[in-house]
Amino acid sequence: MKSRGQFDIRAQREGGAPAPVPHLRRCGLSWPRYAALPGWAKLCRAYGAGVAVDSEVASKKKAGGTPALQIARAANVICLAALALLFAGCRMDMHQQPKYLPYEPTTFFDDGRSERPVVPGTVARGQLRLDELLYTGKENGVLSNKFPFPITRDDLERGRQRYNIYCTPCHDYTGSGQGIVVQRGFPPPPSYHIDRLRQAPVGHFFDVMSNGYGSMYSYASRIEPEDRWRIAAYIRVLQLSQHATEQDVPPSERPQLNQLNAGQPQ
Amino acid sequence: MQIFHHSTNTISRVSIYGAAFILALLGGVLYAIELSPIYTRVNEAREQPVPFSHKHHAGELGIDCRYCHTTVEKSSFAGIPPTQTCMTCHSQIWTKAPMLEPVRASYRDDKSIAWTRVNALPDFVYFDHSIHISKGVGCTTCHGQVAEMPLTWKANTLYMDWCLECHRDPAKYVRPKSEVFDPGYVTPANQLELGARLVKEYKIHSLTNCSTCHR
Repeated sequence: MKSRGQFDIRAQREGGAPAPVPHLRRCGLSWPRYAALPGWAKLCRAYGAGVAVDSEVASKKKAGGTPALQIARAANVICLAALALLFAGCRMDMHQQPKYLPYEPTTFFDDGRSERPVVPGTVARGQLRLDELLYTGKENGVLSNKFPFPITRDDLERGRQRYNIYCTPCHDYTGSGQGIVVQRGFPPPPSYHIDRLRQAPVGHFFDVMSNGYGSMYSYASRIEPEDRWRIAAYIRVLQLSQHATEQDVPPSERPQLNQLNAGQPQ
Repeated sequence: MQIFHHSTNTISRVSIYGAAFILALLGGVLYAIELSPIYTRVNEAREQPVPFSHKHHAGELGIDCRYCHTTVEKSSFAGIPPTQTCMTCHSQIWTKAPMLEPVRASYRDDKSIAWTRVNALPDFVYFDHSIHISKGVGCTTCHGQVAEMPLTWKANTLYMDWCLECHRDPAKYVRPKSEVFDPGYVTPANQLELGARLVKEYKIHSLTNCSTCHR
């Protein structure tokens, strides 16, 4: 079937099993669409003809058709109109427009994907990424200990939010590396609070998030570069929090700290 | 020549008018079917190539929705995770599970997993996840108790009258932005009061223009 041109999304793929596209089956009532219509129309017409033949005998002198014939014709039209209305509801042209929604499969390309990977080396508009520090965490090829933009309180809040979404499953909420997935058998990552990672430049965390490390996969496709920096900043916050003393807390906040620690051993 | 008996006229007339009623009844039945789960497939757990459980991942493990549905805050499309996201954990745990073989095969052969779509809208509806998220509409408001679904099902019809239920009076459903991704969020008793305040604070307009969703 090529009624929609070569991009027909319902056509079967050549040479192989038909690609399952179950979400495209949106009209559950498609079966009576074509089959029923001629049958009903024929039936209605037969009724009309029957009435006409019978009543012509009774009043054949009346011009312009008998009343019975008119009724029969009217009934015929009503029947057809009702049927047309009924099955018009099953036309799905606008429901399934010849365009691809995200992740919609296609038969045009061999891998069945309508979304195409970019040609290697392509630079999208606004994606030149010349800023080495911002996009690699390095300066002249060496991991940097600088942030590419000033970190504000809002950045830290955003960093905490993103950390809690993407990092806590393994690294847990304090960064000690005992997240829920680790409890279920994932190799434990090192704690952020060991000396090696406390000394590590902040670019190291950015680099690990971008490229993965050990059994950790890259998060580059899931977290924007700016957010990776904010998470790195929040990791610094976690590191500080585990090595802080009471003197680090501003005097105005200390009563609150004592209140929070009330029930806990000091 | 008399082919038919006189009573045939009555029978044919009755059956012609009767046909109109039968058609109306048929229409009514079809309409009832359209609203019922037979057609809408609401509450019907759908079979998938891999029996992915939101109950396990989002409920028991407490993984945030956005860990997999990464674009929900900035795009119209919430995002189905690529196989790489599954393999982030499953390259290390449950690596021998036969149930996960399609995932491993997908990663190995660079072939997409053909998930069965559960929530679909007609192509003439231009729904946008990001605006709903940023105005305080929670995931579970539309998708139901996803964190309790072993296999995912559609929780609502997604029909236009259902959309308008909220578009006409958002105060009934809006929640604080901090709670949008909480799968266990419970609507508070003072929802109408809270909702009215949030509608003002988030500058939510009740959008019932056709062109809000249809273009």
